[in-house]
Amino acid sequence: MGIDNNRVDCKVVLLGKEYGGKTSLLERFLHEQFNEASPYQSTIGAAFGAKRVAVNDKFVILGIWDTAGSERYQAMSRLYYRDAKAAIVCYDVTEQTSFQRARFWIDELLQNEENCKVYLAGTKIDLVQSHTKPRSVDLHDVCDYGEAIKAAVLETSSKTGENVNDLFLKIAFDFTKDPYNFEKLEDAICDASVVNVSKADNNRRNCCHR
Amino acid sequence: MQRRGIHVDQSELLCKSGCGFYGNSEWQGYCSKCWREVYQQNQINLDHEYAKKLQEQENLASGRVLQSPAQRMLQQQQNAEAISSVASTSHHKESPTQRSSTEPTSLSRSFKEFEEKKVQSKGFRSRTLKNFFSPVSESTSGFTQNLAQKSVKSSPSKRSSLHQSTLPDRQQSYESKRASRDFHNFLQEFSEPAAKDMMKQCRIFLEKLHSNTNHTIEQQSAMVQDFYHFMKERVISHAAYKGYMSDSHQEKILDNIERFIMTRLYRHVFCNDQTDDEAQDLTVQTKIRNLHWITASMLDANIDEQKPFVSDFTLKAITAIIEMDSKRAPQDKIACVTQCSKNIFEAIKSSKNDGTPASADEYLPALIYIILKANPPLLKSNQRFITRFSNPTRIMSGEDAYFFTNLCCAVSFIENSENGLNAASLSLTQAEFDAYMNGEMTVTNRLMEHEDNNMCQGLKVMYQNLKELASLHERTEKLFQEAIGMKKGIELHSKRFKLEVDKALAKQLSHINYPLGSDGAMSDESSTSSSPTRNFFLREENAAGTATSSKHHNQCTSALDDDIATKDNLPPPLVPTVISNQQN
Repeated sequence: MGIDNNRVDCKVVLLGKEYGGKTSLLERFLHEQFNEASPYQSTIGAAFGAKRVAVNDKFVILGIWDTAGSERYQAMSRLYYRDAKAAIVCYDVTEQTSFQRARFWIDELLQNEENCKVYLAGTKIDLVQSHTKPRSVDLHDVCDYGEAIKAAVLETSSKTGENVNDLFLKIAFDFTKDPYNFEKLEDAICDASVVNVSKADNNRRNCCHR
Repeated sequence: MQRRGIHVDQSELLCKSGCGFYGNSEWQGYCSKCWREVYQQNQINLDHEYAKKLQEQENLASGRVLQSPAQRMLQQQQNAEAISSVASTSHHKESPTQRSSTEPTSLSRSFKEFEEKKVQSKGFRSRTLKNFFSPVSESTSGFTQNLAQKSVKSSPSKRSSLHQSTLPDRQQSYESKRASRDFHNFLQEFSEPAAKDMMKQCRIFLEKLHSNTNHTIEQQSAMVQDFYHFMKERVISHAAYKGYMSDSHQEKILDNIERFIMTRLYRHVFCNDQTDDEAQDLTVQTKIRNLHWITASMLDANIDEQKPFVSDFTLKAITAIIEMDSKRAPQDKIACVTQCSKNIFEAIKSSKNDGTPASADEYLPALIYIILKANPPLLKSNQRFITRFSNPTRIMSGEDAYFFTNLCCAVSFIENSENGLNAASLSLTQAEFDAYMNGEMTVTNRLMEHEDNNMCQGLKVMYQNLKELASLHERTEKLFQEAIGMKKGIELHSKRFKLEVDKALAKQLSHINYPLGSDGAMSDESSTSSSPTRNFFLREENAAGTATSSKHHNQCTSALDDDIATKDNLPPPLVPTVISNQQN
């Protein structure tokens, strides 16, 4: 993709229980792949990733920070979401405890970073669809909770790719809605010596306008 | 500057002691006689020895960790004494310092430094003048010298602050010089107005920062950050930078300015004595030292150091994080963190069997483990230095920022015993944890072995190689034995085969001979002629006792024997076979 990994417009943190599907979500978004023991891995680490997303003829470079979800490190999480513009809080739709933890993350996040936008992402929806595992987190409950904290809710599957791009495009779209960010972006794009990328992203843009 | 001084003031040429003779700048303005009087005193020699002693002490103390507190102590002492001693500064007290500054180059730079310190600790306040006469003529430190000149006339308080501010410049002259050189080389890429403006702005800023040390470290940090911002705006808007407004140029300019400024300010602001950085460093260091017993598995760090590639990568990661302290510019320090992190990712990836990339859930524990293993020098100071003085975009949202944030997390985890590293987070009971901390309990034997293997990688490889060589040797030996056995087998086989063939031939012959042998005269003749030959062969074989020509003999004898056997009813030709077997 040829992006300098150190140029990022919008910092997005991934929060959620360990092995709750954070890393797979990141992998799916960055490389359009789901690592079910696939031997071809170009990346060495899947903890940070930057990708350019087109929104209304503007480019937003999303920098996604994966975080350690283990409880023992939760005291340090404050350091991660400093200055984050958006936070994807993941929960496993087949595991009730992961949603409880997600609520905990959100409470803590909003205490420290009021302006950070929250996106609730249910993961592993393909397991429910294929009846491999029963659903244990009700979508309506999540939506109710999401409404209360003004967070968008999406159920995703990193395996099939369902809703993954939509989620990140929504983040990019919401980011550009803020006039302060938008202004900054203009600069970034005038200087970015990229011109002919918009075509490929045209169809993607539509998702955001729904 | 010197030349102009001579022209302007004639009285400057006269000997300073006022004897009426002309002085010489080589002798610090004294005439030859007064110079000798002033400098060849026993007192001076004593001072000399004292300085040497200091240097020896310093040499004994290895590493910067030990050195820097000493330096800082002197600096503090000097600060305290500065104000009180300014008033008592006299011409005579200045002289030893002058001598030190004009000391022949045979004396090492470090020696000069210690002499300076000695002077400081004695309360001599002649730094500014000394600086003026200093043979070190860095083009970029010109402004400090100018400043020094000005401040001679200024108020004591101002002088004392300047005194401190000029200190770092001389002490770090090597790095400073290199930074200046690099910066000059960088500026050569640019047009004259842009290069001049950059240089000017940097000088003004450095001067501003140096001239007032009453600022707290946070204020200084803010000043540096403001300067970055100011320069960024300037590059975009100022006419001098026409043609360099593109993103890449702007980035390059800011990057180089940051490197230059921070290298020059490093001694001044790194691990500053206004802050508790040093105490924090020591706390963290001691804590890490006490936690030496922690293993990768306790932290759930997925690093299997038994695997060959993994230990390579962990070693590289440890080297990178230790190297961070040796770099001066914030971006170079951050680059070390990134380097370390990339190696950790490789190590995790090599530890796993499925080859999937490492996630953050695995990376942070591994980073903590690496930090515990490495115990990087002045960790906290470095962390704070980067936070305070790095260009903010660097540590905000990019990849480097991500790795640096993880480092901060790891450090905070190690530091914090309430919410961070404690018995619970290591899945140990409090009693176990305390026992480990007190050294009452040590890691189990298996883990100790593991540790040993990690400790001497070279030896480990050597032993492995030796083992392999030994097994190779054994196998070669075995092969050799088997080859000899096979050779014997082949020999034996060929002998037996020959015998068989001969027997068969003899039978065949006798079978054919009978019908032919009806002629009695013929067979009689053959028997009489052959019997002496046979006896001769047998005799020879007994005497020689070697198997060298036995094949030939066998052939002959057996052929003859068979021939004879048909006639004389002699025993079958077993004798040669028995002899050859014994030899084998």
